[in-house]
Amino acid sequence: MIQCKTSKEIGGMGHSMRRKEDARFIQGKGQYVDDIKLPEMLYMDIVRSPFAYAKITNINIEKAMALPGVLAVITGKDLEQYNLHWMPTLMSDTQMVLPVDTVMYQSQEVAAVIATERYIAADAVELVEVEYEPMQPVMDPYKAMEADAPVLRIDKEGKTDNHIWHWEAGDKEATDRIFDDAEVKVKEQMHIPRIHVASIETCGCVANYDKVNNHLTMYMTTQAPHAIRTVIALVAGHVGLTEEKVRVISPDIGGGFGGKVPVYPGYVIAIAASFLIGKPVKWIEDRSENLQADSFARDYHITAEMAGTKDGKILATRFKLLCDHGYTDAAANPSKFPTGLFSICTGSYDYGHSYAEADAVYTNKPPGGVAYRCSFRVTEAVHAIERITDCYAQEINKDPAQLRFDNFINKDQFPYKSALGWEYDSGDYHQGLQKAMEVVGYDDLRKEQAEKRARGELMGIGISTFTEIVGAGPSREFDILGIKMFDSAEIRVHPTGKAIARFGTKSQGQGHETTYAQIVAEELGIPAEHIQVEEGDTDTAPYGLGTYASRSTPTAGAAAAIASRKLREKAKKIAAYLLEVSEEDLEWEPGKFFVKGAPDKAKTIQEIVFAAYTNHPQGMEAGFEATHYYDPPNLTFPSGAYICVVDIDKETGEVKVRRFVAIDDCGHIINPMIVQGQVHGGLTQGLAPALYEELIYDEEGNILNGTFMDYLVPTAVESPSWETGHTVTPSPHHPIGAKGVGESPTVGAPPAIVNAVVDALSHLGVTHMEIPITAPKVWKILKEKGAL
Amino acid sequence: MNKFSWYNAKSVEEALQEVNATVSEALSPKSPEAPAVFKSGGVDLLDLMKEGLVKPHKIININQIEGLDKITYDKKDGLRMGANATLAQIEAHPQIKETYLALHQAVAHAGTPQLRTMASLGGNLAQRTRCWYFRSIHHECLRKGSGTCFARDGENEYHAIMKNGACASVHASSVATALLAFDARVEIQNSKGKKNEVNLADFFVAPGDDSSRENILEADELITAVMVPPTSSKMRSYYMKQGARESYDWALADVAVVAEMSGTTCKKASVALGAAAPVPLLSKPAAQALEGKILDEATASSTAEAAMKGATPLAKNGYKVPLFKSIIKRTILAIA
Amino acid sequence: MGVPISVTVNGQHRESEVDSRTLLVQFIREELRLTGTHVGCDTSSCGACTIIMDGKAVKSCTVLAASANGSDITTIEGLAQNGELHPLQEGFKEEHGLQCGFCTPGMIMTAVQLLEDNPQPSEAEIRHGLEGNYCRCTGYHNIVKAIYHASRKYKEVSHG
Repeated sequence: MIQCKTSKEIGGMGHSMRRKEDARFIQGKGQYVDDIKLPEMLYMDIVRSPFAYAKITNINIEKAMALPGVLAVITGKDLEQYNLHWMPTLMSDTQMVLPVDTVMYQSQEVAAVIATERYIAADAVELVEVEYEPMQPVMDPYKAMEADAPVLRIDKEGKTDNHIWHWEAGDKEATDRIFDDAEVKVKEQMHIPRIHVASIETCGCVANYDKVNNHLTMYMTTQAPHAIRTVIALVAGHVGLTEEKVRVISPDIGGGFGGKVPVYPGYVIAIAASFLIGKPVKWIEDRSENLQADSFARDYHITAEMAGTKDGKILATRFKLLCDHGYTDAAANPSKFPTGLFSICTGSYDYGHSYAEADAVYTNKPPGGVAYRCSFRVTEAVHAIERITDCYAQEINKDPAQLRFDNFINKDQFPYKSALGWEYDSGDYHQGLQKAMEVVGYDDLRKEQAEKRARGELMGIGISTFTEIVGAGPSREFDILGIKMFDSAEIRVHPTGKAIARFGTKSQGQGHETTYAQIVAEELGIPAEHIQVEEGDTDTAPYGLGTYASRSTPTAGAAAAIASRKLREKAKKIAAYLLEVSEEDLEWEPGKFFVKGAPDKAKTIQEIVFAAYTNHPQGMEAGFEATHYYDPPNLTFPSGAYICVVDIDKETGEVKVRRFVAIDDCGHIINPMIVQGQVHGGLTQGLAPALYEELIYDEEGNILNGTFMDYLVPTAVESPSWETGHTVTPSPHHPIGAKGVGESPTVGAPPAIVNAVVDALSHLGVTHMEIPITAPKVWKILKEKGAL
Repeated sequence: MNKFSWYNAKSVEEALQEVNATVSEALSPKSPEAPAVFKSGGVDLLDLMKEGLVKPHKIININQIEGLDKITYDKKDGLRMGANATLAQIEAHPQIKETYLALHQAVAHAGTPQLRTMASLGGNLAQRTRCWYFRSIHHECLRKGSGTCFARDGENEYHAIMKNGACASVHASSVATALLAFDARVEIQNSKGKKNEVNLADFFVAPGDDSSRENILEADELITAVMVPPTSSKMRSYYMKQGARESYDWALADVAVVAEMSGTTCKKASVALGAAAPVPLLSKPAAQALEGKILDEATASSTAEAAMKGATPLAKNGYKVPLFKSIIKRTILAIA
Repeated sequence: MGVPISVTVNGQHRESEVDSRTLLVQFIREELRLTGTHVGCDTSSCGACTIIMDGKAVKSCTVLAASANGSDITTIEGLAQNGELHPLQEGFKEEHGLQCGFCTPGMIMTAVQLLEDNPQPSEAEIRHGLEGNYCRCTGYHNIVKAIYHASRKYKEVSHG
């Protein structure tokens, strides 16, 4: 049970306050980017390549331009005149805005049409005549790395192969020595397939350039409006769009999940079009464009190895990755981390040695990959460690739960330095797994499994006990294009004691309007109901790096607490002045200062704030406002213990998740209802790649499931009723002891499901299954193992 | 989606004067210059138009033709469903659920609740395949008039395992699977006012015979009704479907079995397979394996084996053979 | 290629001339400026555009505005009556049945029909009834609870 320090009326931390933002959403009054309609607004639509790899020999725009209502057709050659045909990616690679002569993946932008109506723009797209000379695309990342593979990025001077970068971490020699001498070694090859965030709202924007005032207002689906403003100014400063002339507004966002972090060509073209024409230009992707051209996620080929003793002590791990980035590295990681935070791959276990290395490669696929509901490649890392840990348990014939208990980092070992250099802030892994096993009834399930197995039925129990790494991040290591990854809060309390609080982050459904208000309420005692939270408008919000990678609570949430504490300090001074006592004589309880030993002598926060405007002490600055930019001293390390129970239909190969217990530890909880909701959603987004989702390409580079008809998003029917719970191990360095939570379930669920399926088939000699685990794959392996 | 003109037909006769192409013709090289096609619920047509596969010049809305959505049932004559009857109407019809259970089940598994509200029975039978090569604007496949079936040597996980020599697509209608098992007949009216009745089995056209079409409909013809013969109290039926995802998805395998029983023995049976071949298939070997047998595990297994004998799975869809066997078995045992 | 249409939307009579290819969802959003009905896909899959037409939940991206002639339409904006939230709206808020809010109007309108057809549904029936609606945020768990919540009140409110 969570203890609350504040009353329900104040609604501070721990209260399941109903969300303040819901009133508009349930009545159809949200405002998403496609809901914006400005006077004289024009519509943009995009011509896309039917080929994965082709030379463009000619683009004829005559017929399109002749269509009434068409104002412009923009090609790469047009943008080249302004040097806007290429743009930098967040990973310091380069991406075409529009191609001048070559297309690198199917559905790549080739030209853009601007017209007075949406349907006219779509008609004109069909009238743009593009001549292509198709070339044989390179789709397989392993083939792309071969010596005789055609070099794809010939635009890069001197490039002689398709290799992007090499990365490594850990002590290779020492790790290899442990492996050489180890009693037990296990090794598994796994692919974390290319998937898509598929937020229900696609991406889009309204670029509104005002020629008279030389000012751009950019309404767009972005998770990081300030960073976008700076990028626009850096890219377009030379044509007059300096940073004070740019306002980015991120309206209500219909789900982000990392897919709305990158800058897509469509945004840039819309800005260019509005700049040239002088009218607002709207661009809204349709679903196929979204699935086929926006940044994908994952697509890591991983070889994972574990060395240990015969009786189950983990000694070392090794990981080798091949990272398929498509034709450009358009990942959205912190700049110094090409593989994101993959180095959390040592997991929740106490051992001394690990070595990880990665190579990234170009192929003729869409660029990416984004950190899909994952703090930069943590999903890949957790999959690797949690799978290989199960392989080890299976190899030495030990119960996977017991193996984990025997290897967990103990709660008294924190702060714990991992083999790859992270300092885990806190955790209590034993407690989490113990609780999950009790809830699920682990021992009984093992008995049931044995009985079923004897009858020839297939049932499996899978565990995943993961450690996440979220809240990027400390400025000594974390930046995006040089901008440090702090975040911010600005609180203004009005004379009547109500407040507005603004943040550098941007909610896409996480409920910031409620949770941030609760943090301020906790610290200042002003009812959360009366704290208006605003985000997403760069003209009003303080600078911040945005919402992704579970960073909002660890960074902006911390900023809210500290800005509130600054105000409380001021409140104390005013209260001392009003009560005519010294500050040392005052004590705080949520909502008021009172004189020690004389609780009747008190001033409420409302009285104090009123005085800040009407009767403030001489020499003190009037008003009641504070701002804080929070630079976290470390990341936060949420963890979880998940147990999944599956039944497999032997005849159809269908896997059914019967039960799924998720015990999460995200430290102190701001709003239990919202945390639980985040976990539910993340679990379904973990179920999705485990059993259903994968972007499929053929050898010619055609995407075969680029619509919602074929890309199988789980519905309410496939989603089980989730069983959630928590343990509380506060972050010692975070002002309110909180850790991020939104991504834990997406990260932790897939290996739990895979481990359950492999567990169901382990007696047949199955040691691994690649995701998504479809019925055909199960059937195939059953056949191979002679079980049919 | 392209521009088109709109014609609201008041009667079947009027509609038939306006039309000049089937949707299949309109997306093939055989299309007239200015194709005018029918729209009832519009579910598949709008998909095809949004995908850019069909660009009709004119749409003849038959959705508001009076009486064309009527469902009538009587014990002696059986069931008659107007072509405009929606799947939701059929699903909600109490006598259909009671008398033609497999049909009810197939309808309830088609699409989603919102789509069943819009989708008409006629449109469901005339819909085009969901083969991803056919639906891809980037692939000029056999069914669109080129000469290649991309699926035969391509990504064919979801494709046909029988009669797939020319084209490996499967028919998308799960309603047809059930109707076929009930020996349904289709009433078709032409522009000269003539009404024809054909067996549903003869309504579908195999790609080996003509790859540009999936049914016999000519440009100046319209499905007006589907008739299902009366059942006896000895008849039982059941339908089952397996998709890649349980909800809203086309079938990987669907099976309808209708059996006339005498005690526990099956006297007469029909077994229909959907998603097995380019057309919904009545399996004669399966029916023969059932007839005269007691419906038990052994019969169910031998029927499944008989149904799948001669299956010709492709490189990636071998799993569909045992999948069908399993679904066939379960459907039979559900009746027993 | 204008087609004259006359519809009643949220109790208000509207007459207009639409381009024949205008989808109903476009008409509702662009012409009537009722932007609570959303577009999430182009294949009738996601259900974000679900409205009630002549008493039945339909995906308004799968209906041509021209086909809607003569119909009576309710969108999410027309659900609350006299300032009182509909039990489903209340249920979604109470049970945290929404996060980003984008799928929410379609979910709610689908659930209106679901409860009309079956005022006391089981969990399985609720889940099956939602198979035409995608949500990427909630994992559906609390949506199911929200509909339960409403079903308890719904009987009293809608069915006396």
